[in-house]
Amino acid sequence: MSGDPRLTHLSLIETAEGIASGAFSSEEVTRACIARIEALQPRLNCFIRLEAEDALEAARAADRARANGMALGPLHGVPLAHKDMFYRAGKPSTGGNAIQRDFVPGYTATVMSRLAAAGALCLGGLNMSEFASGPVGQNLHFGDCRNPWNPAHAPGGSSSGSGSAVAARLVHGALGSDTGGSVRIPAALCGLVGMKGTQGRVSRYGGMPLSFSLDCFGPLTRTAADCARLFRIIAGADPMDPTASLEPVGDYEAATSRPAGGLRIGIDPCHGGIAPSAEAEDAIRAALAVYRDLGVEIVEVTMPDQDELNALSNVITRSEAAALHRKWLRSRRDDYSPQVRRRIEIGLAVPATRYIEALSLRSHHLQRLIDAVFAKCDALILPTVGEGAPTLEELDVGDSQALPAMLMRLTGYTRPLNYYGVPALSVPAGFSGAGLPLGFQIVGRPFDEALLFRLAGAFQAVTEHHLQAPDIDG
Amino acid sequence: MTDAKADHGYDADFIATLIRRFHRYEVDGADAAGLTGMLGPVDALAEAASGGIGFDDEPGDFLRVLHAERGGSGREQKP
Repeated sequence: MSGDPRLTHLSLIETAEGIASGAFSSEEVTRACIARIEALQPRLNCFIRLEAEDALEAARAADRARANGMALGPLHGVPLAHKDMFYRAGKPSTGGNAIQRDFVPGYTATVMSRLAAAGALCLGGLNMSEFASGPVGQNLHFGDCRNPWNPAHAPGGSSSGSGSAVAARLVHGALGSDTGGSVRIPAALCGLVGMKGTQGRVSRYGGMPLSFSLDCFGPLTRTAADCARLFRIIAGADPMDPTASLEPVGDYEAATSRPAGGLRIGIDPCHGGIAPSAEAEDAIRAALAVYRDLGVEIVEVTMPDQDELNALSNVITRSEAAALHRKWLRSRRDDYSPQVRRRIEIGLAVPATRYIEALSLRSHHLQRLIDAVFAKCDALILPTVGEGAPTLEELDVGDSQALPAMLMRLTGYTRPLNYYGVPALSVPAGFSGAGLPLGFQIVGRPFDEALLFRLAGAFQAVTEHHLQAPDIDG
Repeated sequence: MTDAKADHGYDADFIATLIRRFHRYEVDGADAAGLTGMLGPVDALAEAASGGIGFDDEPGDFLRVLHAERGGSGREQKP
């Protein structure tokens, strides 16, 4: 039995409801996912490790629990898979790198514990950029992950497998990590919803770190409501991560069905000083027209310049990453790919004073953003990436002098938001002339994730971009 | 001192020496040059930004502003 292939095309919430009602079993859904993963792995390379037997055993246990009348969680029996960097005790977690190829953690990440407590199954570890460093999705150690909308094109990174697998209907949702855009970039390039919450909204305990001041974990899904369900489950205070916020967690899923009329959206005509492609600009204009029709007021704002913020964000990320990696850079330097080594090694030459300045200036810049933008509107709209997915070939710049420009091309709109610490939700905005997805970010005040889900839900209620599936089966 | 050094203080020799002395391993000339090329512009922008810092600013100020400026005021908490 391979399971009904149509089951993989249901949304996460439809799948959870179908299992809960008995319309189909968790085992049927899980078998359908496994069959699709095995069929498409040679073309997309989404998985570093498929745990088919473990997932099927868990699915059968979920079906028995339902048959026995046990209480069901909001993800009961739903198969997911995640970027291969969230620890589960006794399971390998490679971090997409050669050094940790055989690493087996002895404890479980809080986000993994919370998903399991909600009833979710895990199908394995998804491909990712080495050490979560890189917005393209290339990986010299495990092979490049590919975009299901066109396998010659990049899925975006660093949560490349998460974006590609959810878009290709291999799994119903996935977690990624976002230090400079690594959830939102693959979400945009693969036609998905991706949430980076407020800094501290989601516990970082048990996830492979890159930059402890900027790392955020978040979900990638096909719909805003799916994303809201996952985000509500993983968000909230955690005694194992003292940097996780004590702010109460909202009912994000309910927010997706609230009307958007009366809200105010800000738009900076210059998008902070970075011009997107004409197609991406048109998609933003079309999204604003949709919101106008929904009764949303559109107001013009001027964002602070992004170049300085990108630089300060880089100072923090590189310094913290270099501190984490210094021991391995000395002893296992050749186990890094040249590009990732270059990006991390920079931090070894940043003075401590520069690093502390970059951290201390964060409050000033956040206040400046609040005053310039959120004093005039409830949320801001920005491109996520200023174009559809480039080809893997054109982004393959190695550690050459072209590297900074390539990084800016993909992360120019996303990285500053990690520095501000504000929440940002990437939403599908349509398609380029080449048939590649485009996305926009809805950006909010700190801890205003519910408002972002409300705006995304209202948009998806009257548009169909998120319902399009890549034609990868032919 | 070349103009490039005057702009941002980094050059390949300095990077190679810094990594050798502070971090106790060697990078070759190509790596040192590549690191210089990426680090220089970032450092120049960060140096310009540093003019805005106050004497008693510290990293913890960020969390204070983050929570003080939180949105929603509870209005999104209820369905």
